[in-house]
Amino acid sequence: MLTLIIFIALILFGVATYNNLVRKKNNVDNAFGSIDAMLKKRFDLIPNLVATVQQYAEHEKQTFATITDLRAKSYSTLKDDEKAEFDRNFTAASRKLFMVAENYPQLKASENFIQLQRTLNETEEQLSASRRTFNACVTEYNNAVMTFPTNLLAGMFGFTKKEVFSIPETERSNPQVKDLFKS
Amino acid sequence: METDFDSIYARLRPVLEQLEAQRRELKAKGNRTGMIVGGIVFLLGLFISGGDSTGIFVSAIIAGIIWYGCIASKSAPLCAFYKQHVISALVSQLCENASFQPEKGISEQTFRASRLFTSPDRYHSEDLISGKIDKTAFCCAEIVAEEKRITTDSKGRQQIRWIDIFRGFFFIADFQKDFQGQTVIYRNSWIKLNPRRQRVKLENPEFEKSFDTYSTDQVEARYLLSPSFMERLLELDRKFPGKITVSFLNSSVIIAIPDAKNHFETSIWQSQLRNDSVRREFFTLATLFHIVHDLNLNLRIWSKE
Repeated sequence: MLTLIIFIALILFGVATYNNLVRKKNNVDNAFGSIDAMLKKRFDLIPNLVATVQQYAEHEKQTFATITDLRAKSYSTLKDDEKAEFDRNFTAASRKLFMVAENYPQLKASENFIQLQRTLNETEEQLSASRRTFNACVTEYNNAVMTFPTNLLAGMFGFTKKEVFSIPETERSNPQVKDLFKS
Repeated sequence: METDFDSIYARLRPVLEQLEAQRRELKAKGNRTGMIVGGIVFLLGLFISGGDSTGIFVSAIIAGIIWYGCIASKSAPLCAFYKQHVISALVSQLCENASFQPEKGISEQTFRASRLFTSPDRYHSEDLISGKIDKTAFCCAEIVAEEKRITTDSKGRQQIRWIDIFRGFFFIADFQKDFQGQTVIYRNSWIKLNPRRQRVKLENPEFEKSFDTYSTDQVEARYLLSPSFMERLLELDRKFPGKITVSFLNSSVIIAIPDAKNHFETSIWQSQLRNDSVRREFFTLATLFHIVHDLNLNLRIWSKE
């Protein structure tokens, strides 16, 4: 009888642990989806960004050359590494834009530019919130995968540790204006 | 915006002298009525009791209570004058675009919608201050929300008790970011269960030690609670002796500040020329208005202007 109770308890524990791991993994996927949605939102800002800059700062076309090329594609057709590259390029280019705007008073004062700046700030903050959510979900998932006794079941069913988002070294340091204007 | 109390007090001095004259007049009126009514009651008591010592004692106590009640009943017009002329002046000196409406308050519907507290059985809100500090519209009011508890003793007799759910200020300000869902920040508790919302675990350990955050949307909650905003909330929490709780709803941030004191009232027994209550009310108002700066709510760099 005792053996049967222990057996049932073990089965119930196994089912609960497995379901918990699946839920946590789904949360990670869902959080990753929200990052993707924010990246797409940022991607959609490019035509407006390019149009605004072209209107007032003809010479700065080069600054956006890489992301303008990327914009020729549809976001859904981009591969994961292209999305990551776009993310990096966009962050660098938008920083340059706001620094470059200092030299173009008309650009800086234009209603379009101000609105664009607000939208970009919002998108960046939402993107940051999505990344923080993703990291929180990954941490929770990793804790479940790596701690005893759930790690036993995680190993059996192939739940592996996931990587959290980290800020690239280039973004951690304060950008040097002279470096930004090399290109 | 004038923030130097001494200069404001100097300007308010004539009004406070007027208040003092009114207080003396009302107190004297109440005193006269109290002496007459109390005296009659005392004499009636003496007559009924036949002059024994217990009768004299009871009659004197009843007469004293009547005398006190007659004077205290004159407080209402004095409070109205104090609110209309003194508190209103303090409010307008501290914030040009603010108005003080003592008879109005924050609706019970808003109190319930904040989801910070359980639904009250008795609700009262007064002393509404509303206005705009730079780009941020705000309002705040005193709230007393109570719950009815009925206890039955061994003989089956029922006793009704009113327990405070919340007593203090609700400060509501327009938030600088757009959002759709609801995020609620409670005090940290051992029980972390909320059937309607998900718990949001945040990265700031000190914030997590003080608060429990629940939201209808994990990403949105983190969008609202950026790392710098969490620090600002912690700083604000340290500023108030009561424990603040926060709710984000309908594009606004609602801050509940517990406070047992009934503010913006005056006493018929004490002169406002001598006591320190005007100074205390000045700093209460200044602290409330400063929340907009404490939380940097005038920073409008996002889509919402």
